[in-house]
Amino acid sequence: MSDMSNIIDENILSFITESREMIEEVEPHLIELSKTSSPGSSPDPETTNLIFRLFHSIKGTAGFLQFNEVVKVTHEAETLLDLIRSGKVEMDRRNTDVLCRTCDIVNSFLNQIESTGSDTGFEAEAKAIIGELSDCIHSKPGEKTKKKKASPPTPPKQPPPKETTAAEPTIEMGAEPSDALAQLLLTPEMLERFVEEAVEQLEVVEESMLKLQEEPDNQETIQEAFRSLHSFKGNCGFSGYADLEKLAHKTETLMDNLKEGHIKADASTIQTMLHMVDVFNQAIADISKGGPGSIQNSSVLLDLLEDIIPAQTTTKPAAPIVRPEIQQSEALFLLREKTELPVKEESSGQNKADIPETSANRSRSIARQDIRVNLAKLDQLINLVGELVIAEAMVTRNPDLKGYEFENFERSSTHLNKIVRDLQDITLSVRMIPVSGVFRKMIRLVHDLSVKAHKKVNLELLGEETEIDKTVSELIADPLVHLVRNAIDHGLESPQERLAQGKDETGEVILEAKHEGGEIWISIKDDGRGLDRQKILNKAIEKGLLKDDGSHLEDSQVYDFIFHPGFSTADKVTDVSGRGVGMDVVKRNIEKIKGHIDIRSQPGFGTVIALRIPLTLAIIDGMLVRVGKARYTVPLLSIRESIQVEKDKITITMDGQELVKVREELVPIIRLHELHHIETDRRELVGGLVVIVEYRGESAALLIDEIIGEQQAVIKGLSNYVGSVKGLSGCTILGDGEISLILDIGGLVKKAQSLAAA
Amino acid sequence: MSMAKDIGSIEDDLLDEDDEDTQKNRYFTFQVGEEEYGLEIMHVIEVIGMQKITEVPDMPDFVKGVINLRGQVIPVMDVRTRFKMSPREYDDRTCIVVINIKDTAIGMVVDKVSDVIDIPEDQVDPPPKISRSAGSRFIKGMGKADDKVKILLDAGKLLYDEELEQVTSTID
Repeated sequence: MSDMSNIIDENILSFITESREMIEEVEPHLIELSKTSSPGSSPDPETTNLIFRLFHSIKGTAGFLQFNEVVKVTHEAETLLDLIRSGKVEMDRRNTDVLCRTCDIVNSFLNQIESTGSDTGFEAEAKAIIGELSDCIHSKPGEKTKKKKASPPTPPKQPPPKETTAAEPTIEMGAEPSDALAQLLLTPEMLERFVEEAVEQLEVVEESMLKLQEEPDNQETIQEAFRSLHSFKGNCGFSGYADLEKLAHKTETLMDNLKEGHIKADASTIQTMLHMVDVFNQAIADISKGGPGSIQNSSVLLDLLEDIIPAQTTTKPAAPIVRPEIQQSEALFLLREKTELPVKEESSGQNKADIPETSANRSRSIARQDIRVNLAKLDQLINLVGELVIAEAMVTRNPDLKGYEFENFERSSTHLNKIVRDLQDITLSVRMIPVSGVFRKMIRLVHDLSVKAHKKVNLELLGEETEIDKTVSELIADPLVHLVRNAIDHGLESPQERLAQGKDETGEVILEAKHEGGEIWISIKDDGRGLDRQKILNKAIEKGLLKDDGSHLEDSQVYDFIFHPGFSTADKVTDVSGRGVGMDVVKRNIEKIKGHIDIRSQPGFGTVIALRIPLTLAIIDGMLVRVGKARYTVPLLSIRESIQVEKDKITITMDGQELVKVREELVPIIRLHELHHIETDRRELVGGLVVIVEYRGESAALLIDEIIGEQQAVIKGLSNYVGSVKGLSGCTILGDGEISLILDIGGLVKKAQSLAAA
Repeated sequence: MSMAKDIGSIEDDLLDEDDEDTQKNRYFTFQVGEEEYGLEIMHVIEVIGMQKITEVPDMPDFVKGVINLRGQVIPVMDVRTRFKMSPREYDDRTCIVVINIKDTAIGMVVDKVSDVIDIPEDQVDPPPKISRSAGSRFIKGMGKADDKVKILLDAGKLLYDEELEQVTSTID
C-alpha cells in the first residue's frame, strides 16, 4: 500500500464529512432566506454569502478530488446564488426548493462516494437538477412558475428521507438502512479505529485457531479467540454493520460450543472458523476503502454455521428467534429517528428549522475548534520540546559562563526559560483529551441496546470534560461498551418489572468521570436490580471456583467472580451479552493501565462499577527528593508528612529494623540508599529527614538526604529492555534533562517487606 | 577511509545508510580495550557523547542505568562490563552508541568509535570454536579488513542473552 492512496482515502473521507456538515448548515439558512426575503427586497446579503461560500467550498474540494458530477451541480447552484446575491434573481419559493433539492442530490452523491468511491450513477438526477437550476438562473425576477415536480412545502424534512432513497441503489441487504444511518454518524476517526481494532481482533482469532490446530484442547486459546470475536461483534454492532454483526454472532455461538466442548476443534471446524475470519477480513477491507462492508451471500454462510452448531445446545434458540423481529423494529425505529439524530450529533441539540441561526452558528464554531493530528507527530513534538528544555538549560547554565555576570543575558535567559516552560506545559497537555469522546460513543450504544432489550433507558453523562491520556481513552473504550451493555441487559429490569417495584419505568444509567485522589474514576451506575450475591455464589460453586458456600466472603470478593472468564449468571445468551466474556475484557484492559475496579451494589437499587485508573500514565504531582546523587520523585499523594528524626523516637528491633515513632504510630524506616545500593550523604538516622508515605493503610518512612521541592512529573516508562522494576513506577525527565526515578510506594513497601522476610 | 573519524562524519555515514542494499555487509566499528568490534550498520541509530547516567536499582551490572535521549528514556549497557573486562574510567573518547533491536533502543558504552567499513561476506570467518569464556557467545563472526580483524558482534545476543532474563526473574 502506498502512502498516496491513504492520503486520498483520508481526503475523501474528510470531504464527505465536511460536505455533510456544510449541507446541514446550508439548509436552515435557505429556509430562513426564503422566509425573510419578501418580493422586491434583496435577501440578507450575509446569509446569501454564507450559502454561496458553502457551495463554493464543496465545489472546490470536489474538483480537487475529481468528482465531476458534484462539481457540475454545485457550480450551477453557485451561479444561481451569485445572481441572487447580486439581486438579479429573487430568492423566492421556487429557488429555495431547487436549492434544497440540490442539497439532496449532493447528499446522494456523498453517499454514493462513500460506498463506491465514485460519484457516478446519478447522472440523470444531476442533469435534471442542473436543468432546473439553469431555468432559475435564466428566469426573470418575480416570475413564479410552479414546477410540476414541486416538492413538499417543508423542505427541511425533505433531505433525510431522500437520503435513504438515494442510498438504496447500493443497498444489498435488508438491514442496511440502519447501517446507512450508523455510518452517517460514524466519523472518519471512529471508522479508522473500528477498522484498526477489527483487524487486530481478527488476527487474534486467526492465530488462536491456528494454534488450536496443534493443541485442540487448549482452553486458554479458545478463550482468547472468543474474547476477540466478542469484542469484534460488539464493534460491528455499534458501528452499524448489521450483516457483520449477525455473522459474527453466529460464529461466536459456534466458538461457544467449541468452548463448552459440544463440538470438537477438528480440522473442519477450524477450517470453517478460518474461512469466517477471511470473510470478515474482506468485509473490513471493504469498509476501510469506504465500502459498505456488506457480505455477499451471508445467508449461505449463516446456514453453513447453523449446520455445524449442534441443535441441543442452549445457546442456539435464543439468538435466531429473537433476531429477526429485533432487526425489523430496530430498523423502523432508526428510520424514524433519522431526521433528528444527525442534528443532535452536531451538538446543536435543537431543531434546526426552528432556530436556524443559532444552531448553525454554534455548529460552525464547534467544527473549527480542533484539527486532527497524527499521534506520531505529536509524540515527536513532545520529544522535541523535551530536547528544547535541555538545550535551554545547556545554554543558560553553560559552564563557560561561570564567574561572569551578564545582566542582559540573565534577563533574556529568564525570558527564554519562561517561554520554554509554557511551551512544555502546553505540549504535554495536548495528549490529554476529554473523556467525552468515549462517553459520546455510548449515547448511540445505549439507544440501540434499549431498543434491542425493550427497555427504556435514560443515559446521563457527567464530567465529560475530564481529561485523560489518549492511551487511557483508547483502553477504556472497550470496557465501557461491555459495562454499559451489562448494565442495560442485566442490570436494568424491564419496564413492567420496574413499575411493579414502584420504580420509574425508565431506567437510569449514569456515566461519570472525575478526578479523585490522584486517580481518574470512571463509573457506570445503574438503578436496576443490583447484583445477586447468592446467584453469583451458586454459579461460582457450580464452576468450581469456590469450595464452600462462600458465606464468609465479603461482598466485594463475591463480586470479583464476575470477572472470571466465562462467568455469567445470565439465564440465556442474547446477542448483547450473557456469555461471560465482557467482564473479562474489562478486567484485562483495566489491568493493562494498572487500574482497579470497584463494584458496589445494592439489591433492588442498582450497581455502581467504578474504574479507578491511576493518573500515572500521564502526569503526577511529585515531591523531588535527593539521596546522594540520585533524585527520586515521590508521588505527592502517598506522602503524609516529612519529619526530622529525633533520637528518642527511634526504636531498633533485634533484627536491625529501625522504627520511628510518629505520634502514636510506629513506622518502619526504609533506607532508600540501602534498598537501591547507592551512595548517600547521610547514614546517621538521628537528625535525618524522613518522608512518611502511605499506601493502602501501610506506612513507611523513607530516609532521604534532602527535599528539593514539589513538581509535576510526566511519567515515562523505563524502556522495555529494563522491564518493570519493583518499587519504581517509571521515571520522569527533570527540567535540567536528568532523569528522576519515580517511586512506587506500594511496590517499595512490599519490596522492603520481602527483603526483611528473606 | 581513514581510521580516526570524528563522530560527526560517522553520523553522516549513518544518515546515508537508509537503503537496505547499501546496508548489507557494512559494519559500524568501535574499540573496547585493545580490539576492534563491529556491529551491523542497520542496528546503529546514532552515536552520542557520554552523558549522565541515572542508575536503576536491581539491574544486572552491565546495565548502567538510563539516559535521556531527547525526551526518550533509553537504557545504557556498558560493553566492557558485558564482556567481563575490567572497568575503565570514562574519558572524552568514551561514547554511547545507540542501537535499535526489535524496536527497542539501547545505548552501549564503548571506549572509542572507529569507522564504518565494508566487510564482504567472504571476508568473514566463523567465530573461533575454542573459547576461554562465555563472552564468545556474542561473536557472530570474525571480519577481516586491511590485515586487521574486527570481531563482529551479534547485537541480539548482546542485548538479550539469558543473563538478563535471569536477573529480571529474580526481581519479580
